[in-house]
Amino acid sequence: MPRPDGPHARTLPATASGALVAGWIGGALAWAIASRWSDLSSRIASYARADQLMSLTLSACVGALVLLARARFRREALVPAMCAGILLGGVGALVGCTLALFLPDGGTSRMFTLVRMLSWSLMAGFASVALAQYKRLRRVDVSIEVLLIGLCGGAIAGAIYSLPGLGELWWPAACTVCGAAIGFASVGPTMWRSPAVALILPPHEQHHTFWSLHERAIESGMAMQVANATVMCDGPNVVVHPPPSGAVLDGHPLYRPVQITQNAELVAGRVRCRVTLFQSS
Amino acid sequence: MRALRQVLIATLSTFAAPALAQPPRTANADVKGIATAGAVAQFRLVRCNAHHDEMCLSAAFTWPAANAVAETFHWSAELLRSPMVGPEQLAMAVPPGAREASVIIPVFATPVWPFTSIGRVALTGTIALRDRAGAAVFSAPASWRPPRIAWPLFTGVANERAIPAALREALSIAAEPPSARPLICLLLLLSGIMLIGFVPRYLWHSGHESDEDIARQLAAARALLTAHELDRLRDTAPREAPPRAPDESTAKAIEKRDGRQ
Repeated sequence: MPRPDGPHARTLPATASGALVAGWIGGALAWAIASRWSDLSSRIASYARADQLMSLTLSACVGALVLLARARFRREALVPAMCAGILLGGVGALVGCTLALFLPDGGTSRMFTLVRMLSWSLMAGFASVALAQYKRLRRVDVSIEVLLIGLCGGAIAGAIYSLPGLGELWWPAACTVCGAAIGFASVGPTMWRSPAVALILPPHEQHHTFWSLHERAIESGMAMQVANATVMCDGPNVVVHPPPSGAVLDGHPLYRPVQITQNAELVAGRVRCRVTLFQSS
Repeated sequence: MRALRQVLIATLSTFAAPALAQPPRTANADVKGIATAGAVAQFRLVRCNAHHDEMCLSAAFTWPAANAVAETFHWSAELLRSPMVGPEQLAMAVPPGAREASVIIPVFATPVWPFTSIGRVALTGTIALRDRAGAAVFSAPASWRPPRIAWPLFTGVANERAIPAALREALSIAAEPPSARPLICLLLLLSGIMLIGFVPRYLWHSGHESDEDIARQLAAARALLTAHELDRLRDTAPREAPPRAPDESTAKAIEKRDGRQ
């Protein structure tokens, strides 16, 4: 049964913007750690190693906070997610940075700036793809989108780092922008490329906070329990199965399974949930 | 798993091996050795003051012939754009008979206004050692590039006597202002708090319903049957007939259900 034509969501999933902020904070944390390094000459043999160490630190911090935030938003275990973030982010960035080291420095200053932007770009792109693999991302089109967003964000961070003057300010700015880009790239496409996203709404007259946000992507063939109702995604169709006692969908009592429309609001028990339809898989 | 193991081994060997090997303190992060006509020039980044604020490029020369009396740097214009570097700082007299010399030039001087960016761009140029007549005894292209992602790290402390007087004066002025890092830290902290407050409130707003919507939802919720009501309905509802056997005709099944057989 084809899904009825309707407007697809034009808003960002809350998890994507939350991951952006978590990445931003991770970048600031990495800067705070790295700015304490004053002399590593006894341990670091060259600037190439310094670049690798910085990439590792930046992406491990960003990965830890981004996957921690993502796990909290999905009500999953926090510690494994954080450990996976450190490992995946660190390894991804290390691979990207090591690849970038093969690029020649370029003869001129302008060429060196380009090479530096490419280095930041590769680091952010690979870290984003590695972090997106948490919970097995198998779709190639989504992985490419993750990589492209990461590459663009990293290039912007590299350009900020290369700005003239105020060098002591541009470096933390580049770290935070790169962290935000990695966070957004690694989480955003996996959300908006899923058929639907269910957001548990706060009680009336209350706002979401970072700690209270509860949002999940509903993948094809997956079901999500909202109180005692079930939201299922079967191919392109998102269907709500109410409990025997019924549920309320868009203000109307509901006793039998119904296909969900854009921004449908479901009340089951004491839980309110808004389902936003995104692109079909 | 095998690939992961290889990556881990490569990572460990990258970082742990130099640490275990305990290289001498003089190991330089960015030594560029250039050997031409028996002369060798080496570059390394050093810090010029105790505040870790200024970074300098140290260039050391060794040459076999003792006929050189003067040494001159010829760098690209990028370095000379720095307000702290003048042509006089790029030249140094070498005592007669000397076979080695070193010079220090600033490449990274953040706290000084106007801020310079030369520590973040690649430097290219030529170094030359000239004799009394001004003829080049030794000349070679030289380059130095900062890290691409990391902040340039220090590899040592410059010998104060090796720093030219004008430069030392400039650095002592530069060392006066406090580091900007606490200020940047505060800025990042404030912007982080703002983001954490701003994003949930203005980007995640759940689109509060009007009073009518809420009333409609409440009415619909009240209209839902409770579990107790459902059980009561199940008890009072007519019992379902047993399923029809495949060989029964529809009419017979109806008769059986109605008990009129």
